[in-house]
Parts: sequence; structure tokens; C-alpha cells
Amino acid sequence: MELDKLIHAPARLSIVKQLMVVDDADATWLQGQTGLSWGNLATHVRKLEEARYLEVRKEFAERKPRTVFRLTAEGRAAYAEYRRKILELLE
Amino acid sequence: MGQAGLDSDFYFLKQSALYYWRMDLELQAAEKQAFHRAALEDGILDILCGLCFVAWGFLVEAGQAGLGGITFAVIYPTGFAIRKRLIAPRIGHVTLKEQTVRSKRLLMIGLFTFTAVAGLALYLASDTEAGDFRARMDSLGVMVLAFPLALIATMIGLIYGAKRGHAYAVAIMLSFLGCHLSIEKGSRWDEPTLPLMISGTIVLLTGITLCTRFMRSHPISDVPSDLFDASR
Repeated sequence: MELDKLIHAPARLSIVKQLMVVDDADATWLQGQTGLSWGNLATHVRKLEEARYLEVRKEFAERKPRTVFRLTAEGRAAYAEYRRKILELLE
Repeated sequence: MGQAGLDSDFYFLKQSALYYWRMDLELQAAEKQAFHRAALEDGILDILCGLCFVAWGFLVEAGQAGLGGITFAVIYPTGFAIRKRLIAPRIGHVTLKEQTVRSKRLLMIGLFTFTAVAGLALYLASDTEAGDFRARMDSLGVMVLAFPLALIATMIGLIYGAKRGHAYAVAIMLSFLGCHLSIEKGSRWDEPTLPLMISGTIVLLTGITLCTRFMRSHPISDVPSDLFDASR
């Protein structure tokens, strides 16, 4: 049984988990929830985006730019599969 | 220390790993925590509730208890607008899942409707002929007001997962009961003015404490503007 290494990394697991429970969130929210540094967050987000697990959207809120992240259907399915495998492995 | 010791060490490690993974994968806990962070952690809701209670207490004292509804209508929108300015830049933007928000909203609407209908029924069923709010309270016993307020507080605690809601319910009951038993009838601070103000002040002070702590621990930090550009 092979685990999805992209999600298995603790930092990325934390990002994906946080995005699983909301519709979307911006960088400030994600940074506060995961406790990652800005640099780390950007690196891991990029990896997840490259795998098409999440999509990044730029928008303006009250004339201020905001970067919003959202898990794609693919990302949600990958997390569900990862979770199933890890529980199966541990039981 | 032999094979048995090693086995028990391995068992402990295995159980710890299992616990860690289960915890880490627990989405419900994460969802609850996200809701708590987005809606309750900053204490603004407590401040607004406390202000409403205190204002209502003053209105009862002034013989204008019926204006309590207007107080709620003024304080809440103003408070939420201030919250948006103060809190949103600190925690960031989040869109909670529609089903989470909707189920909590429906439960709250149900609770308020039930409390309002039950309260109105009791109020109309009172046998006093006086139309004055305080006179009716005297005839009903002020605890009739305490029960729905405490029920709302404790249900908010249950529905929103805010344990302090239960503490507020206890504070409301105690302040109403204390005043009911200790204050002389007909005195200037006759019930329900004082218990409303006492319980309101408790909620207000708790909210201010939570808000101050939240502001200190969540300073506004600007997202480095070019950081996420590389990912585009």
C-alpha cells in the first residue's frame, strides 16, 4: 500500500486538512491555522498547486489584494483516499 | 527489562502513533476549531451580548423595557461592522462550509423562536392587571426571565461549542437568584434591573478580556506581496 507522499508531509497535511474543513481561505488564515512561516507556506502551497490539489486565486477585498486558496475536487479526493489508507494501515 | 519490556515499549509507540494520526486526521475537530476561530475566539460576540444586557437593564430601570429589541437591532449590526474592521485583518478571510453555517443558523433560529414564543406565552398568561413590565415581572417572579436567558446562553454554548456559554448561564441564574432573594421589594434597584446589569457586566468583562488577549496574540501581519506570485 502506497501513501500519497505529497499529502503525507506534515506541513502539507496540515494545509490540506485546514482547507478540507472550509470552502476557501486566504493566506493570513492559513498561516494562522497551520503555524507555518510565510516562506514554508508558499513552498508547500506551490507543490500542492503543481499537483492540482489546490487552486490559488488573486482577488481584491476593499481595495486590498488577497490570495485565496481552495482545494480542488482532485485534492479533496486525494485527501479522502490518503485518510482511508492511513486508517486501514493502523487498524 | 526483557522481551516483555520491548513489547510494551513497541505497544506504547504504536498506540501513540495511532492516537497522533487519528487526532491529526480528525476533520470534525479541525472544523470546530475553524468555526471557533472565525466566530467566537475574539470575544466580540460576548461584548455585544454584555452591552445588550446592560443596556436592557438601564431601559428596564427607565421603564422602557420594550425598547430592548431596538438596542439589539442597533448594537449587533454596529458591533459586527466594527468586528469586520478589527478582527478580519488579524485572522484573515475564510469561507466556512455552507452546511456548517446553515445548520448552526437553523438551530439558533429555532432556539430563539422557541424562547420568544414561550416567553411571550408566559408573559401573557401572568394574572397581573398592571401592564408595566416590572409589575408583570413581580407577579411572575423574575426567574421567568432568567430561565430563557440562561437557556439561550447554554444552548449557544452547545450549538457553537463555546464552553463559556454554560458559565454565562450559571452567572445569569446566580445573579437573578441572588437579587431575587436579597433585594428588598420596591427598592430603587428592584429586579430585573440589577441582575440584568450584573450578568451583562460579567459577559461584557469576559468579552473585553478575550478581545484584548486576542488582539495581543494576533497582530496584523501583512502577507509578503510577492510571495504567492511565484506560484502563479
